[in-house]
Amino acid sequence: MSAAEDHPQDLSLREQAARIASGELDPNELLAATLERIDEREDELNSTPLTFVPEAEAMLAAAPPGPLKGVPLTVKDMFSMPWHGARSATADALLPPGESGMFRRLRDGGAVVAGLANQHALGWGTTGHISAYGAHGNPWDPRRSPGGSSGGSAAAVSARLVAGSVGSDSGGSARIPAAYCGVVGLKLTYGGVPRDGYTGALTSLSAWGALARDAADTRLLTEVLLGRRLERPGGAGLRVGIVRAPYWDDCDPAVVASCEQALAAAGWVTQDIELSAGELLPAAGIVRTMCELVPATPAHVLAAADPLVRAYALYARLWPAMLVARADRVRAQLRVDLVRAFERVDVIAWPTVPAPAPPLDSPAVELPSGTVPADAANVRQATAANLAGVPGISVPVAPHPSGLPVGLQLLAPWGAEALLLGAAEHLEDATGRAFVDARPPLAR
Amino acid sequence: MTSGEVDPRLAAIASQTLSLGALEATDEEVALVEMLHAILGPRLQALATCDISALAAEPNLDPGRAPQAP
Repeated sequence: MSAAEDHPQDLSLREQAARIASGELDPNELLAATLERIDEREDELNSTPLTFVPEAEAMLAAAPPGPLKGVPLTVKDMFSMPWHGARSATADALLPPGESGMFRRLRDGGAVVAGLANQHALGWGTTGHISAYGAHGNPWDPRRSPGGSSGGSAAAVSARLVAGSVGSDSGGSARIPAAYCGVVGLKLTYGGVPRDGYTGALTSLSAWGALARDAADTRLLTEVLLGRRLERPGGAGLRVGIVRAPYWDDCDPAVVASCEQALAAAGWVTQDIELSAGELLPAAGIVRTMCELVPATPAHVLAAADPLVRAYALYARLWPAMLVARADRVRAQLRVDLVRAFERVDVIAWPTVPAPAPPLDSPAVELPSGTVPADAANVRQATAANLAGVPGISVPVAPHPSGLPVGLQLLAPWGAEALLLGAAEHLEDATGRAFVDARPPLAR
Repeated sequence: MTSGEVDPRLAAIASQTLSLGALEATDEEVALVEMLHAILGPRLQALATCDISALAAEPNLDPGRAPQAP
């Protein structure tokens, strides 16, 4: 390792795996160093509130050959593990301990679950300031939001506590924190994986999320989650669809500039496209999300939840049922529009978040349309992928003038994760890897 | 209505609807619901009142796949 990489968690996920496989890196030493680094850097972050020392050591001792043999990761609190029932950052377990489908995929891939990733409580928010484990911060500025709801996953990867973390995405929950923390976040296509032991299993919106520092690492983690190898299409020469309103028009101008520069650097051909029910998508997403999540949440958990979480649940109960039917019509139209769009373009692009990470104590963002809660602004940018079921990825691009990361989001047809990862890798290369290799102050 | 006041019409509807589900809300939660309504209400109203007659329908939705041709 170079002087700049004198800690094994400064290595990429794939390099950790390769060095373990070749015998250059002792996985026991890697695990010990990882737990030590979590201890060192967690005071300001709270991204990883629980570590699983004996359980991780047992997983490592029994790790089968696999692409991630011996590599430590963290896992969002929406997945059960044999020693931990999923809590979704609430006071009580929502699911009993056990081998969730996601856990089996990691175990079978040889990975080691070293810790629990903090998250926004119940996944009902994108800021991370509400959690039974306490608020969690952003490695670029611990007083700012890490995003959410998979904020602990993104923060841990960005701060180099681990090189990969498993999150989920019901309304941008993998992509939004990836953008806030300057890492890559991939929302998988809906379904296609074993969903048992997953608190998002009963929704029609929630998908697993892979978070890592760059596209190649995200591909490796995604392959383990999917249980199969992915093709490696190149990302040059792609046709990119641009949906101006509201996804580009109502964003911080510096965010728009960063994303436009990245597209130009990639050399992709862009063309404007329209989604016919575009202005209705945020409402459709909110209605579908809350009408699926609220009934799935036990009453005693809601009773003990933060007042804002309870208010969301109460507000959703006031909506007329006809809103759900209307939301489903908007959703169906979106899916048809995307089929038509993907006949003309390979991917669709817009900023992952419309403004960089807000302060944890006042999570609102400034947009051309005014000051709005970060949740409303972020979900607006994210929900189309969840309603449609398509995969989406957030890739770091040039930072905001504030120094905070910015992410470009790409959407692709159902099942086209490999295309997104190829596009992201091309984007990283076209920008000299300057933004995926950037280290937050906490990791320098 | 000034900031911090709860629209009495909303408060009445909220109270009646929540009572249907045997749910209780504190004054703080009602105020937060009012705040959420101020933020999300216009979007939800647009969804509630838009003409959906021209929009596609998908009775057998599978989010994991592209919609099938009718």
